[in-house]
Amino acid sequence: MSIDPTKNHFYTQTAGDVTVVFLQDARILDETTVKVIADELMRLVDNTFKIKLMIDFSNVEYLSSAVLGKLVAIHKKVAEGKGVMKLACIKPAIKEVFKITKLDKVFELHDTHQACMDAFKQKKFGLF
Amino acid sequence: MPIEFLHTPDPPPDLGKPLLEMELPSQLPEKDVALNKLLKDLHGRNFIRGDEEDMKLRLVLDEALVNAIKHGNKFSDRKKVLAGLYETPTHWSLRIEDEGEGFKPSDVPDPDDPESLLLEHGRGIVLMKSIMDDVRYYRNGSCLVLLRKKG
Repeated sequence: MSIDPTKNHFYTQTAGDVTVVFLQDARILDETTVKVIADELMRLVDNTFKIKLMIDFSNVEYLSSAVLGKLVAIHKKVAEGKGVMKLACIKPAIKEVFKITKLDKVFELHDTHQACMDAFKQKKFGLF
Repeated sequence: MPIEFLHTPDPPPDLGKPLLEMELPSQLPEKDVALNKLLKDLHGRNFIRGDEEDMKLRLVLDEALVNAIKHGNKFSDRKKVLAGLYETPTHWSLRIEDEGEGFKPSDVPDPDDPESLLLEHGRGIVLMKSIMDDVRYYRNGSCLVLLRKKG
């Protein structure tokens, strides 16, 4: 079943200073949908300086390697704007894909929404 | 270390009994139709089982078909992609062939190079190799054969 590229593929919520993106599609496969989602997320990142971005994958069961590429692009954009991006609730089979491609070393992955939220709240202690 | 895979100008060998063969135009929506037909057939023959296997094979097939349509045939109306499923007593295999010029193995990013980590492309062969038992490219890369042991 193909995905309607015009429908809403995610919704966002703000929790404190964290912007949470809930992906809605169970399958993020076709290139048009991947591009639509990535473009919208890029706009969101562009419009928020020092964004704290959580992407919640609870609903996602399948994704294509094009999604991995776009996530890398969003990650770079977030870093350019001095923001932070973390991924939450990734199903085990998809997590394995992140491991195979070594993207588990690029992205911070959290098993639960709460663990991810807690990670944003942790203060980094330092001199500055 | 660069990822190792067979890449030869030779045509592919006989892959065994053809189970399903199809020809598709070089358009991405056609990819989903072919992908679903192949997956349904793989499930029907018990070559793959369960949701996790389904997800992984969907990823592999998506990668192979998108590469053939996009990079191989460059969406040309005049070029087709051939997709086929074959079996021998010990293995099943998928053959995806395009009418493009192939690629050079040196164009495939080295997955161990830290700089490759932040590339937006080039993860396909790593994924296919980890999910299938073997990944082989014939005709300079325009014919991909993916093999899996039965059982």
